[in-house]
Amino acid sequence: MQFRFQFSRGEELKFIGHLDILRLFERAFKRSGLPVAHSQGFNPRPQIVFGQPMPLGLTSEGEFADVELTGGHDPAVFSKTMNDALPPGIRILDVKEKKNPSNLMSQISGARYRICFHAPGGLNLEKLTMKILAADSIPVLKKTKSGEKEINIRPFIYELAESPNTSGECFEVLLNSGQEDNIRPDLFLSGVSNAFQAELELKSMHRIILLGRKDNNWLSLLDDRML
Amino acid sequence: MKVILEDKILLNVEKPARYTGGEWNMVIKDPQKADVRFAFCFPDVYEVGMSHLGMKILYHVLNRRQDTYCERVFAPWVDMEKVMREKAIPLFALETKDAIRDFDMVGFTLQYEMSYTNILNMLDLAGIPLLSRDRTTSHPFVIAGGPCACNPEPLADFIDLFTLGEGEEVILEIIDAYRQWKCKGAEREEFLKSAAKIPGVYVPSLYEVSYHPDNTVRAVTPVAKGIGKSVRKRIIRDLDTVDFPEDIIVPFIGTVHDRIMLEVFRGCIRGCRFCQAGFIYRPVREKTPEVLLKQAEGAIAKTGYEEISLVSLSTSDYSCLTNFTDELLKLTENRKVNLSLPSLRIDNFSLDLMEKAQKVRKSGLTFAPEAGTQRLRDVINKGITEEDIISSVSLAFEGGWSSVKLYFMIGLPTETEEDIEGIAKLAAEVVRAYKRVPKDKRVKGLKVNVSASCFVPKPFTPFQWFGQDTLDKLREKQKLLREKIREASNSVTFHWHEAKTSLLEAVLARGDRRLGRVLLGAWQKGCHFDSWDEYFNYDAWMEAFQDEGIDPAFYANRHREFQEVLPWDHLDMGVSKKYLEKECRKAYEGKLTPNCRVKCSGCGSTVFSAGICKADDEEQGQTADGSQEHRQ
Repeated sequence: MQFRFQFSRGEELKFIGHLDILRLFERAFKRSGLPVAHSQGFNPRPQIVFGQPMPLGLTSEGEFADVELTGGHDPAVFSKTMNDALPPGIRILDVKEKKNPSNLMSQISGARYRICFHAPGGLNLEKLTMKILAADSIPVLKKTKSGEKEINIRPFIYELAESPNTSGECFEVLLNSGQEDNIRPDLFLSGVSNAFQAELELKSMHRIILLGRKDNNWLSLLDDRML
Repeated sequence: MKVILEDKILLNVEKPARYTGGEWNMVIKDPQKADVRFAFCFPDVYEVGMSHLGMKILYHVLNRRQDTYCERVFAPWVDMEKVMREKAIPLFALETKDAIRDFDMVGFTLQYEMSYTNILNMLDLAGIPLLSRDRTTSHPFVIAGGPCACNPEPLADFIDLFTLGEGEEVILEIIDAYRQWKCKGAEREEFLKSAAKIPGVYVPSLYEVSYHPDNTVRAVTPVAKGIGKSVRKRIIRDLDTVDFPEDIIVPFIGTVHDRIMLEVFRGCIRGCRFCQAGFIYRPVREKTPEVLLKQAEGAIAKTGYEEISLVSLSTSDYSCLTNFTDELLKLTENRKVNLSLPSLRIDNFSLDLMEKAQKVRKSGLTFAPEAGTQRLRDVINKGITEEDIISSVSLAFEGGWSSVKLYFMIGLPTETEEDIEGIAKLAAEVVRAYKRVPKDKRVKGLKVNVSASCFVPKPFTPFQWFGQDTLDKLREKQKLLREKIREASNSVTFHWHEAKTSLLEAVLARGDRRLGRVLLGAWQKGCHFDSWDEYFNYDAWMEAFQDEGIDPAFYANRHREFQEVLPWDHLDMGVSKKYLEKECRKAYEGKLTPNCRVKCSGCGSTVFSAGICKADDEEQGQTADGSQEHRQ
């Protein structure tokens, strides 16, 4: 059977790379004793698929992965067993059985972030937020495999607000995410800094949740319509 | 003092997880409740240090004690060191991020000579006085152990006490002595004097070295009452009962050896005359298969590692290898764990085993003939013949391998041009062996890689008196070998090692206390990470020698007489100097010494009465010619 689970990454583990996260989960599954299905062939690999890589420095409470287990299992037991085998800093928050063979990576269309920053030159956050929303184009230089390329990130900013409930200056923003036109939060912030001559120094970036999109709705990847 | 590493710092250094800790199985304790805080320091970067089995063992052994909290410390990489110096961040331990200058004890492991400047650099980053004599009761004790401690003299100015031999027991006795001393609130020297009474502990400040006018050592004498004239190394007599860690730390980032390391036995029966490990780790002591299987099972369950590796100096020599690997394979296959088998002699059995064990692509096989001719292989007591090598590679080629690495040394005692040429000839023979395998039976893409390192004479080997070839001579030999290989075959690639590093290694390996000043000078000139080619600064080292008026050739290239007092003669590794001398003479006569299982040659290790060196076996207490060996 297949499970999809939502997990978090805390401060403790925000400095390890994507491949390290994959290895961490493979080893945690081994420790848990849960029977992960392996691929066929010469070098069998455990069947685990992750949603979207986390950039270095990002914390998150909304990551997703799919895992194939042999035999039937109880989701509650799954969470408990795995959390006992995971190091501090990674927690499984929720899990559901997956009914359809959907591809997690291609389902991801957006990500909600809380980006906190420091403005040494002073700042009117409300005004800046309005300016960003009113702009037609926010050009940024994005690093690609072949060099740098200028892209306009404005069409990929879906929602933007000053972030509530936090001291200091933060945006809560919904950005495009996925295999194409993935906009990283640090790219968003440097783009905004450049376009509006605001001096914004990144303090922290936190992914609130990765989202899928169906019938014009943003949905959690654990929503029944995504499973 | 707790160190705070801001995100800004960590996001701007390479691999920040080197500094953040929190790995699976990391030991968490309340430091307030630990009487003894111990900083286990590996003088190299995280990925190298985390690959070291000895550190895992001692971390486990120390943390089993309720009164002690052992934490890990690695050399910060160059980028991090820069930030730490700019922001005055002291060297800290990974577990608590506390500055190690406030610890009770700081322990370094001495795995290779080229890490010595890193030790000085780490002490400096910690804010601990570099020189032992400058430390006060408010500073930690700085201790060190590991293979290089068999001649620790170049570090004598910096280290308060050395442990000789295996550390599992002696480290606990040192902690006990420390606690007693701490309760009393006595002078620093008092602790060192009481520690020096523990077998296997060497306190350099309690010994005085006198020199002859030609700078050779006259004598090393204890300066305090009740301090022994010589210090004998410690060993663990029974490896089955000694604590072996199953709950080892599982790093987040890739390390050099990122797998379970299951130690099968200690010591080596072979007695290759160039190999320090083959002498200083005697006697051979094996674990039983039952214990090994239990430890393997435990480690797999507690770590989740996908690979387990058998560790020893020569795994093929394990007496129960067939039965044990059969059982182990059942265990690993069941749990989808790969078994890796380094240090195997290549024969039908081992190829079959490798095929069963590693369900991955057939990567390269490594052979270590060490020398190019039979004559020279006999000199070094490497008991293999050309037929052995050719039949092994033929088996490998027939079994689907197409890439082999051949390891050699140049600059071995008695070496001639013929021996150098022999390396190229042997490589060409390997190519011919491949071509003899029918095309439909062999895998395409033959790769033969010859790697030649420069021989470094080491203490406690039969070649400890040998003057290393000069830089010019080594380079000449490298050049000759390169040409000969080019002539011999175009399927062979050649790799060689920088001779300058080997020269310095030779100096430090057989150095005396006068080198302390050179070491300090080199560090002051910015030398560190000497084992990393990109940071090794030969010129700075040579300047440091010049500043102190010391000629490196005195240590590296000078031939020593048998009667010379060697800087490490007061340290006792079990193997007697007499025996080493006899082995040295046999080497020059090209005579072989049989391995320890065939016949005991009376090296002296029976003093430990352990493993295959049990003194109760009459025959084994005697030398090959029947006379009783006299200890020096």
